[in-house]
Amino acid sequence: MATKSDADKASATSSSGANPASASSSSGVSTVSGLNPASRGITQRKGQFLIAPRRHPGMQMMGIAPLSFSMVEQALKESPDIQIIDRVGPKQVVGALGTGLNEGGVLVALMHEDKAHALAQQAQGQLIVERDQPLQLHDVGYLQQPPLANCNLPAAGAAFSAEFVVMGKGQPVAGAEVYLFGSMLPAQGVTDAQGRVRLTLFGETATSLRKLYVKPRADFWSFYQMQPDVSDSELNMVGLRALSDWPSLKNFPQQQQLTWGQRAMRLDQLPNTFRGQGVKVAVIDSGCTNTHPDLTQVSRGYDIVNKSINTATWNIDTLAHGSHCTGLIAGLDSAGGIRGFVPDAEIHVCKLFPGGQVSQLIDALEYCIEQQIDVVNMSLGGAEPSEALEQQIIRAKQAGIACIVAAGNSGGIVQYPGSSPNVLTVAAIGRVNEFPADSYHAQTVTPVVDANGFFSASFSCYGPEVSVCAPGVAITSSVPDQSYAAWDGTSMAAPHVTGLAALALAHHPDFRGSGQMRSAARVERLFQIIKQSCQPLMLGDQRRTGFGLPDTLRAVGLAAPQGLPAAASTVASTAAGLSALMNMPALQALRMGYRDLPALQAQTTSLGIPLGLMSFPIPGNYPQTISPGMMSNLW
Amino acid sequence: MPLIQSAPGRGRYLVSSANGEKLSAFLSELSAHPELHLLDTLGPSQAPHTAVFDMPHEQAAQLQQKFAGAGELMIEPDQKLKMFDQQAASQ
Repeated sequence: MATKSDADKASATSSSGANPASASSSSGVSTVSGLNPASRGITQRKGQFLIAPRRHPGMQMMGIAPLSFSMVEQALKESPDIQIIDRVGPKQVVGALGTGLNEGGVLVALMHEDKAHALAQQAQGQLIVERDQPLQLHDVGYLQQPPLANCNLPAAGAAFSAEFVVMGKGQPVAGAEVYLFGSMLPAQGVTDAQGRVRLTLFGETATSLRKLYVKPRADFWSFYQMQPDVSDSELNMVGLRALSDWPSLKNFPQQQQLTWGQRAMRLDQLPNTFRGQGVKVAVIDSGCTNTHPDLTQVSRGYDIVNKSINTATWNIDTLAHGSHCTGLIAGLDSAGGIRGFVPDAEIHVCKLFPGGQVSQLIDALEYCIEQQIDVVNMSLGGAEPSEALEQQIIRAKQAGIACIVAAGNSGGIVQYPGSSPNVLTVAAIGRVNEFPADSYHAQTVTPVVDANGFFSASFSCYGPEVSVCAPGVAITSSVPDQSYAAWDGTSMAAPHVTGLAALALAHHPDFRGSGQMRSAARVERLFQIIKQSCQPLMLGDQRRTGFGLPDTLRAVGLAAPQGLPAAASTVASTAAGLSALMNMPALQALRMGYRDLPALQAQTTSLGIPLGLMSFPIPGNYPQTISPGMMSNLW
Repeated sequence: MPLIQSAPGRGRYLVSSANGEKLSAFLSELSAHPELHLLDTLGPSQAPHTAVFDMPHEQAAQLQQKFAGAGELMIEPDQKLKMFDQQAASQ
């Protein structure tokens, strides 16, 4: 089968190399003055598509004649953006395309993805347009995604070697990780001081390259290109967008910003006197670099990894993960950077990465018990549940410690300890238009997007254990030494809820007087307030969002819990449990009922109300009778 | 606690108990198990609830059977944890 023509390749190179003005401010483009004049920008190469008239019997029954193959072929030939490279005869069956072909066959054409999409739309169902997919051998070696390898793979067959230069703000970007994926083993490298890296893939050609991913250390958006048009003879240039090029991060970090997630949780509407004073928060993670301008107030910690030598090295964060999480929770309220939820809270850092074992997490929780921590952030997990860890989580809960845990990033079931019934588990959501379309963040979007632009992140774990969801895509926060990075993960979602939990403990009326006594009951009440504060999200599967997105104003008692009239707020905040539950919207109450079914049954039995006859008033609707059977179907 | 790489055939295990006295009793009998290397104890210094051992996998399996009968002590592998950012998944 023919491959991309030299003429087409030359045209792509020429057009992409003719836009120097945009090189410093947008990604994936053009040459830069002073750089090798032969360099070229990375764009998407044309993909290979199969095109055929659709010949569905149902259409013929409706009197719709199939399009003529020759007419289709002629129309495609006249389109300057489409290049027909082959015509497969009717006897060569290609999947569903071959079914019922009486005339012509299947056209193989090169075009860009958006052109193929437009073509399919214009044909209104009468034309099959699908990508000519690469096939794989079904042996185990190919089914499993191989681990990333470096650029020094052992030679095997023909090699495709390409050199890249990564630029940002007109300067080379050093230390950026560059991944080039073919049909088999990917190649990986890190840019040098000149922003350059050479990658070599064996057994690949320019047309078999599947994706290019560039991940800067900090201060720029990532770049991700499917079917990249990469040259092996010219220098390939990737221009990265600065974080501050994004409208919501304008003048960042010189000017202080909130993350889009903090704004979605209405932190921006909270009076400035609500700052989490008096609450102790622990971040169990990779440490926290407290020389970062957003984190200079962090002065307490415990390095468990280095326990036998020096526990004071918790402030060396070689992985940046802990600094990112801590910034979201407690970033200083200053002129610049990212402000956290509780800049006045007392922050404790428990370092257990690199490394990270269940035993070390148990040790970290012991520290939290000793230090009388109020809220713990755990953006971590393991493969299997641990009885020893579960016992320690229960001890912590009995000591009044609320554990906020990330659900996990495998895209499957919730991981442990997120699956523990004694923690509050957080899944991740994203929001469209909060990141560049050519960044890796765009790969996390799932099909259902609500009216506010929210979507469940593709990587987020899900299940009935998910309590709430929070922003976890394209979250900007502090990283060592004095930079910022936009990251994805339930790791980033959990700190949003940890910060909100600390705010609730510090400022909600229920936690004054006897309500502030440390106990498991206080933890349960806190979890209940957070759930009741949630804005429910309808993203297709409630297991991905739990009660929804927590709301800061409701969590501190400044606004009525979701579904409650303002006058009922006081009642709900003091009469915990069933009274609040029964005034919730039916769906939300049902979700609580599913998770807390045993407690709900005990409460209703004590009041003499059969669970199956409980009714839930729905504002603007009618009372519904709920049965336990319905609950099990909701998830 | 810097991680000690276990030798082949050995691994890190947690022995824990909701009842600290049971664990203390077990620790006092360690001389009877020379192949068990105590790495750390976790919990209040006077009454630890969890002990970290390096021991042969076979020994761990035997202890698991022994503990299962009494139901007072538990043994499990000291699993690795990972951070839940999306760096790895994006690659």
